[in-house]
Amino acid sequence: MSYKHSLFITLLSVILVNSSAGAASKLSEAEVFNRCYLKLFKSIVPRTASLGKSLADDVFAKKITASNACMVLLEQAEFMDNGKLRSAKNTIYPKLSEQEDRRLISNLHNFHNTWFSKKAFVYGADARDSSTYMMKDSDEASLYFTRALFGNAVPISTVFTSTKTLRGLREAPDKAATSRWKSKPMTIQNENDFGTANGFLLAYGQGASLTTMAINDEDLVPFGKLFGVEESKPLRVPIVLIPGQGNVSATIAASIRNAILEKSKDVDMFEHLGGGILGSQTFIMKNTNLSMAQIAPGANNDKDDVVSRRISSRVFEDLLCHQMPTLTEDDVRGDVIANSSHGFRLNSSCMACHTSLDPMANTMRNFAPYRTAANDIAGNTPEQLAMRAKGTPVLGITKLPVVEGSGHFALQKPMGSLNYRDHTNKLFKIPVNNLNELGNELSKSDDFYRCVAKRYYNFFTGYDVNLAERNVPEASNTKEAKFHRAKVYAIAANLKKSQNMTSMIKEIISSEAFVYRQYSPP
Amino acid sequence: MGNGKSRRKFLETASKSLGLVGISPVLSNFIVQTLSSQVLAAGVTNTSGTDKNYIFFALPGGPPRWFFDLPLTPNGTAAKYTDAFSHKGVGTFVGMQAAGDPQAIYKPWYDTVSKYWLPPVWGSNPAGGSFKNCLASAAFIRGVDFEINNHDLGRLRNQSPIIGGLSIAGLLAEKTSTAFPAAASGSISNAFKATKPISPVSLTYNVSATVNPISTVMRYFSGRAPVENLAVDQALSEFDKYADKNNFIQKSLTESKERSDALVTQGVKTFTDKWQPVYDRYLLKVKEAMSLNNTESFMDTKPITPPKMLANGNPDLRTRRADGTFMGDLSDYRKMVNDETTVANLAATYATVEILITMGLTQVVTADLGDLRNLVMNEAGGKFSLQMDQHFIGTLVSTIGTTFLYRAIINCTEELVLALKEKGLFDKTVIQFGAEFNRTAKADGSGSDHGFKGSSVLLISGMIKKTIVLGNIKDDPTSAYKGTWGMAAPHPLVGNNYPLRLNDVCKTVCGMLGLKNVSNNGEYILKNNGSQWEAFSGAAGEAKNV
Repeated sequence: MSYKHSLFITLLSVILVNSSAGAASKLSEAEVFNRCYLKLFKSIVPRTASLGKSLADDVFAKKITASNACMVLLEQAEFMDNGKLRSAKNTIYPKLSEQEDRRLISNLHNFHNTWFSKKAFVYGADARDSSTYMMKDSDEASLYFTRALFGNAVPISTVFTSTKTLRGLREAPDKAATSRWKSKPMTIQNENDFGTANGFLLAYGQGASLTTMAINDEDLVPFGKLFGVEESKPLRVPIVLIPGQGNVSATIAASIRNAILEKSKDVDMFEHLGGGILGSQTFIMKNTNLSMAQIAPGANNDKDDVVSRRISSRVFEDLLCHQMPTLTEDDVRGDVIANSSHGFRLNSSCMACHTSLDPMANTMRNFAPYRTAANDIAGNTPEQLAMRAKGTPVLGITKLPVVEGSGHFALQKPMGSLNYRDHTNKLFKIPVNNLNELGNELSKSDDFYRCVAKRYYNFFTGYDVNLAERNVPEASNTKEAKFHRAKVYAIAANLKKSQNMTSMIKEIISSEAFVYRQYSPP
Repeated sequence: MGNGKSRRKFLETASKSLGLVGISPVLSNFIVQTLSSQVLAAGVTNTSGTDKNYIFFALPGGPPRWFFDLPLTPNGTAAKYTDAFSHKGVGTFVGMQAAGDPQAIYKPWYDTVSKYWLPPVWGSNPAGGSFKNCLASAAFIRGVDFEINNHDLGRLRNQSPIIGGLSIAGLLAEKTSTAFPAAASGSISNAFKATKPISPVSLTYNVSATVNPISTVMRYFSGRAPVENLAVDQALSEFDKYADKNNFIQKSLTESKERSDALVTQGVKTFTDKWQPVYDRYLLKVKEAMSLNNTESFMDTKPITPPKMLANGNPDLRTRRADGTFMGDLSDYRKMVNDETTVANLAATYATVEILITMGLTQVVTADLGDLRNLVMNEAGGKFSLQMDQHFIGTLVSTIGTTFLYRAIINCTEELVLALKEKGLFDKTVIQFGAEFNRTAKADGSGSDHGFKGSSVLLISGMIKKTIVLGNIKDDPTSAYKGTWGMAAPHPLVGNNYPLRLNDVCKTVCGMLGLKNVSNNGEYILKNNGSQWEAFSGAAGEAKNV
């Protein structure tokens, strides 16, 4: 279709939509199906032979309800889930065409991507000249949701309980001729020097020991249209560089040096750190506030010093739909320390956020960022010259070992807690000692399911529900707002029970907000 | 399609369809806006999801606010205010040490309309009288506890009170459908955060007849070096071939680029055509402010003669310059400010704001305001700048210099308010002034220190129909001096438990702009009454010195 045609259709559809807008009235079954198709595929139902057209015809002929027809679209999606195809379930209707299938998956995966406020890795200068994006899927966090939606009976709680690093399976436009490596999703320097026919050369080690290993095509992030996910297989690098930190006392410096030395060897590039999304290396690299040279917390065993509290903030905001602070000042008065050298400890208004953020970050106290080799290859040191000839480094996150009795906070056994008031104002203070425990608690949190339901409700119906009543201005807390909030709460409760995202979608497309124009609750 | 909502929908959808052919959202929005303004007949109004405008001016450095928006007198009683500032050795230390000393007369100015005693700069309109348009719609919120003693974080918290959280500008920007979601200059742009991934357009101020503050963003589309244009054209042409071969929907990028270039060039031309006369108007406003007209409310009308050397042989600390040296041989301190004195980028900032807002190119602007430049420091005509971060600075220099700085800012704001009123936009606009903190008077040496425990915020909006002064202040017992500007005191609006805080201010501004609150706490400190916002009645609407 030409651009002029597509614009014409767009304008026409706008006019049609507007001409029919008016008082609250129920959509016809055909309209409900069209609306659903438009949401799922971002295009109108095709007029040519296709699953969409067959279903539309059957809806019109009253052979199937619109919501069931819409569900068939989702049921017929095929998705490669870690080597096993989730195939089309419905035997009466044909499968989606490959093009429709890819479009459906991409559309909803891109929607999941919008839930995360940070899109790029934070290690600005450190990530320069690295090939991290080629090996580690920067979409990993949203892939947990996409897998829960399209995978083989994957419960949505796996978003927080999975212990595997994920990678998208994608297909380049000219798939027959283009492997992952040849599709070259990223430009790298001295491409001819850094690559072979099968993959690129990863540099690791430093100084005289700098060497390279070939990373084969199958270990790279595929480029193109998403059609599935796979769990990354371990890929061990003999040695990596953990910068550690320089500003610690001599005693602590020695113990942390030892821990770093121990952990720097034989590192799995795809190590998962526990708790589903929380322990995804790319999620951490996108959301941490710590530099490569910081291992939380800072010097002299100070638990209030640098911790990766920004990750906690993203968990609350992106995954629980919280608006900080969730705690009240009365909740945190006991956490205020007069005369603390840390400004935020001095008053309860700051601690209302910090009491949520810092204890959660403390569960990640032993996480250490690394790179496989020095990053700056622009200079003329022998190492930089060697790098230019040999390969590029990759960044990642690993865990330092626990050292019994250590005076360094980062080497002690992680302890933390999950502190928040939920959307209904109920107070939670739950001890959690690692990301698996944190993820487990979050997977039980009603707020997580409400957050997913809220986002999907908004996606399908356009109503952006404010989950926490306390944050709603009086004037906005209308009968309509309360109705939609109650609806989302109910959908979330069912999602928690069923663990099935497709069921949730069915509930939403059957809701008043979807099947009525401008629904007004009684 | 006649109502605003339908047109907004049209704009959004048409923008998306242009996005399909590879044009950036901002650019496609711009194109659609331009096209629609031509295609749709006049009379169609409300082109976006909100008709509110928001302008935030940051004063980076945290200049002393008692010259500007920290009226120290509650409800018409001048005594304590006057005492504090005129007493020897107290306050800003501007009073005479002894008869014949140089002096800047710093008396509160009584606004006969609002019946408040206010900082004298408000009565010093160079054209005579007061800045009445601003004053009539101003809310002076003082006694605000900023809580954090940090330049950057304090400043950014005026926009996003939860560090790293949503900002007022971000929330409003995502509700608009203008060509630019927001425009920003300086450090305050770091506070920008919306729930959607949008960013403000960065403004730069290399001003000339043909180069204006939005030229950087426009350069992206036009005015590129020929070699760059050639490279872009070649790349697009290659992509078109590739797209053709692989049956991509995204085709004809070269054609799209050419069409969009033409439209944007037209947009640049419109902006540039507007630029010079508007910029000149504001330049004049800055110059007017630097004259001696109507300065008697804060400065002696007779020459302010050189200070005496102190008994220990050191110069009077009140005459220390911002760079730490002393101004000994200036025969009249009023010469410090003259025709050449200016405020960095002030006219450019205000001209940009006026054009962007009144042309409907954006509804959200946040900008840092610059320092006072080209102050004269000696009889030889040497120059210096007065930074806003005023540690170790002579109080005489600070009082005169800072007041002129604020006078220029208010003079430009008065002009901006008139321009907004003329377009019928003022009643839908909030102009907010914020800094990281106020300053405590004479806390370190001859200057002043971070007054984060008691600062202030100024709101000017057509939604405010009567001057408001709000917030409680008490002595700072930790300070070596007495004075009523030291600390914010508890206020009944927040249950008498706390002073007013930035969360309360931000919640109120969000309310005025029809936004959800940027944080999850805070209280409204102004009361909504239909389309207007006013002080609460009783103690909740008062300002007290406790």
